[in-house]
Amino acid sequence: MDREDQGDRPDTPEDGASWFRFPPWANYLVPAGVLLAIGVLTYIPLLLSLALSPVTTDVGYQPKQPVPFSHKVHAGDLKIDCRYCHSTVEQTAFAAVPPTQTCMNCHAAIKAESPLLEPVRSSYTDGTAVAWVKVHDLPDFVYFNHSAHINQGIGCATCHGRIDQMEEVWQSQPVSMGWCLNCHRAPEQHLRPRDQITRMDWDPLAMAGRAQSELGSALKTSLHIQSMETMTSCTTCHR
Amino acid sequence: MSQVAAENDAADRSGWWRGLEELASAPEVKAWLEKEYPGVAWRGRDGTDRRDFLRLMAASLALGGFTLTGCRRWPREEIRPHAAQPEGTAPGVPLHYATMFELDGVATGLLAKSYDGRPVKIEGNPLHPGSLGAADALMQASVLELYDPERSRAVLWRDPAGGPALQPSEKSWPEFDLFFGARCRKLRERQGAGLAVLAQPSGSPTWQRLREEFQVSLPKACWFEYQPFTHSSEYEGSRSAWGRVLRPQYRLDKASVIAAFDADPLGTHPARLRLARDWAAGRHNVDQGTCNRLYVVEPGFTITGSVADCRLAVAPSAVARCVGWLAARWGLIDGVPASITAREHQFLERLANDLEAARGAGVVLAGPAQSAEVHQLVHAINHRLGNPATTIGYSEEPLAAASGNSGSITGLSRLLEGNVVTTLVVVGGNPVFDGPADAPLRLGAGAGREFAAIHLSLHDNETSHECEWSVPAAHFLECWGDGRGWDGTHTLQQPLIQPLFGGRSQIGFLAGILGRGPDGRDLVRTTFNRLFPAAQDADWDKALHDGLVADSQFAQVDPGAPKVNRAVLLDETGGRELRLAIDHKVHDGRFANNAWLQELPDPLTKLAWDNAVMISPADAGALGLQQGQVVRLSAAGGESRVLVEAAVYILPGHADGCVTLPAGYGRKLGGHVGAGVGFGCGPLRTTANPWTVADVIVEKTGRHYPLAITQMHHIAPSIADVALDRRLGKKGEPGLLVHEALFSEFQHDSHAVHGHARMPCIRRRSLTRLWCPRHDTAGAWRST
Repeated sequence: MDREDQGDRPDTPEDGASWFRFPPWANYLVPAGVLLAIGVLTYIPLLLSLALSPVTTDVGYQPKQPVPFSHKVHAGDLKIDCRYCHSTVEQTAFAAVPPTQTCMNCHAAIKAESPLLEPVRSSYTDGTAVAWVKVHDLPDFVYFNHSAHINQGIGCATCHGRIDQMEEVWQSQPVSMGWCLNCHRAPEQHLRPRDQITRMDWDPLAMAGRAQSELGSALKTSLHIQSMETMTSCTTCHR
Repeated sequence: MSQVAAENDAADRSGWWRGLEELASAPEVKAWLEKEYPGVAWRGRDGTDRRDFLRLMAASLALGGFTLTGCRRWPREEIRPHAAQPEGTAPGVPLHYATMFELDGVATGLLAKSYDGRPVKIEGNPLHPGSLGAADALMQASVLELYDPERSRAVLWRDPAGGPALQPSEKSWPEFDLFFGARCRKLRERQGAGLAVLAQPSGSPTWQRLREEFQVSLPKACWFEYQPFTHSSEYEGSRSAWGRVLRPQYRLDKASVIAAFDADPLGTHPARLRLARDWAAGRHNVDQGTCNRLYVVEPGFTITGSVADCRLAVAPSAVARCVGWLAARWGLIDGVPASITAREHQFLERLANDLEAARGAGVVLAGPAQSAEVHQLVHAINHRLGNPATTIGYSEEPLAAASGNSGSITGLSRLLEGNVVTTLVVVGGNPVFDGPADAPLRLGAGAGREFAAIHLSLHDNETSHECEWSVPAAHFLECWGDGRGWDGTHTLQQPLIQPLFGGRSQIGFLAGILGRGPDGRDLVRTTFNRLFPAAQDADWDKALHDGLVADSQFAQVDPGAPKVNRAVLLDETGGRELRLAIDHKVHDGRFANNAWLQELPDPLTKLAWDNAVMISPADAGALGLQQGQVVRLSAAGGESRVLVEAAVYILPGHADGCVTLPAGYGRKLGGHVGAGVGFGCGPLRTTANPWTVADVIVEKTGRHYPLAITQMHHIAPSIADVALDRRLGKKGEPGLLVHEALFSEFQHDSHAVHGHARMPCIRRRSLTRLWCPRHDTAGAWRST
């Protein structure tokens, strides 16, 4: 190798000055450069389109749950209030998924033999948890607090969509940072009276007789919604 | 350190300085300040410096960002709600429980915060008289100890025939119970003959009840207690003064003159949190011109010494002669110590006048390292000055009752040599590491010896490695228990979590030896019912909620006049003495594997991760020692001299003629964090000298040991000047922290000292609401 390297070295010109000469492997630079340019030109649009696609933001994400619990039946047809099961939503950051006991309050008598409810019954008898799959999964560096939103006039359906029409829950909003900020910058577009929070078919014009912007601005004052600086500050959500 | 303070700019600015190096403006400090980030040693062994490190990290992050994250799937997460929601809980809402922490036999009430069933934070229990809402570093860090992955995780069996290199084999609890249950049954049939228990002193009423039952039902068994930092001289002094062992209950808030002789009431005393609060209460009225005065005579530098108004640094034996001089002054003993120096004389004269003037409102304390004679004299001095009426109360010492009818570790050492013991149960502790060198424990089985040693321990430590069985203990946050505060308050310990590694509590284990069920709650409740026969279920609930039983202090006793041995002469002067001190971080070594504590700088030396032998600047100069130089300490022991090596820390304010070495370091099997940190005192500790080793020779070695000292951090002038000026103020002007004024100005206007400075406003926290087992207090469980 050493000997060959020495052989390849450019000859020293006779007048003593040296000039630069491309080594033979430089011939490959041109195709390599072309390939790289093509790669970059495909990579960037691909990256952007993937990052912004609903697949990435998880809209429509509908995992299979251990029990095919139908929100349409419970919240829609039977009109059970959200807070009957998600009982901690007004007090805590986490809207509790109900303990098995809550299911069995009714299902001890109703559909007590249904094979679909077998995981619930076995959980009740042996005390192990039902492993529900999380649908709305925020990154761990986001501090989301349900009670802060519920008590400040943001309805369930604003983020979760028409749960009362979903057989099995799927994600209806992107739940991305941009989506969060849309509302944090203009909360008046989404505020509603606190007694209408769990109402799925809330319509300000039909039910309160006022346009959303007008109602929202009034609620923004009466509910003491924070200033835009606070609402969009990094530490409001990333603590 | 040369005296060049005058031309130093840092010290000149305000007269305040932060370290000897700064005072002397040593060239190392200047060079150090010129570095970009002082104190941050980036260049490692492989030659990677900070810039290289950041460059590599940036490159790898970029690579990771381009390749790895894009391919990563969003993790599928599950929500597993309770099958049956426990009453009063909501997911994600922390709950607080009252529990306790026992150290050296004294319980301190705590509030533990639990987040979804996981203990995450410790604070003091405001209701507990030993805490008043405060928790010290050891208590705070106990949360990390709970989750220490190197805790003993399973029952380990070491084949006695296998030798030290053999790997232990993992056994299950049923396997252990099969062996141990059969062994205990056999021992019970023989009334305990052949059984020995070695435990640490504990004030737990349940523990003491079980121990008494143990001694009744197994009369031939032997009970031994040992802790490295013994209080036996205190007990001895009290016994010779009154014929019984009494525990002094100091009321520092009522004292106007406090004299601490080699005592550290604010730093290492078992009731330190309460004593510090009381002492501070006596200083709140400084603006009215009445303020307690603290005199400290001590060899090393303690937290108490650091806040003393008048401090005298003398060697341990000289502390004794100072007490002797005081006693002689009030005619309590005949011989006046002749070796008292002029400096000591001047100090003691002032102290004596102050104590005289404050008759009935003074306190004289002596530390556990001082001899029984000193303690006896201190009791006599307090009595002569009429202090016991107001500033000192006495109660029976519950920990002495145990040591009274049980043997010492020396007795056990002899017993083990004699092949009489067939079963040794070591409950907690680590006597192989911290036991005295002249009482070695022969824990191996050996040929033809029917012997099994069982160690119940939080960690598989030095002692466990020599025992046949190593059994995991439960952490205090995992099990039931009880204890007594320094003042005797009955304190309850309730578990916040199931034992993570299946450990057993000490009381449960002892109950197992007696053939009882190990249910800790039952054991604690039985004790509670016996101590408070009138208590109802509601009282138990309340005690559990509060963490203590109100008004359950020890009964105060009036011991009368203490006897004095008039002939005692405390006048010996010897060679250089070595003081073994309790460490503020690892205590006696048991907290060595706690990285929070190791990382914490020592309150006085600002040393992190190591200990060092502390020496006065004058002695260091005489011996030609530099900071961080390794010295050899040797003392007479057996036929040859025993020695240990340790790095030197030059501590201004340390007494000349003695050195101090905090114990608890140099662990061999301390875990990943604790092993090999610092310097052990190993062979220097003997039964005769648990605290102070006489005639120690300090020799220089050529080696140097890098000590991590945070004292001089953040003094870089460009960054810190503004902040420093704000805190210290200009010369003669009050700063944020340091307020100074001339006494004449202060007398004219007591607020002059504060100037425009405003003390940071401390908001009083509202009381944390605790989990409550009662139904009629709905809502009280939720934390705020």
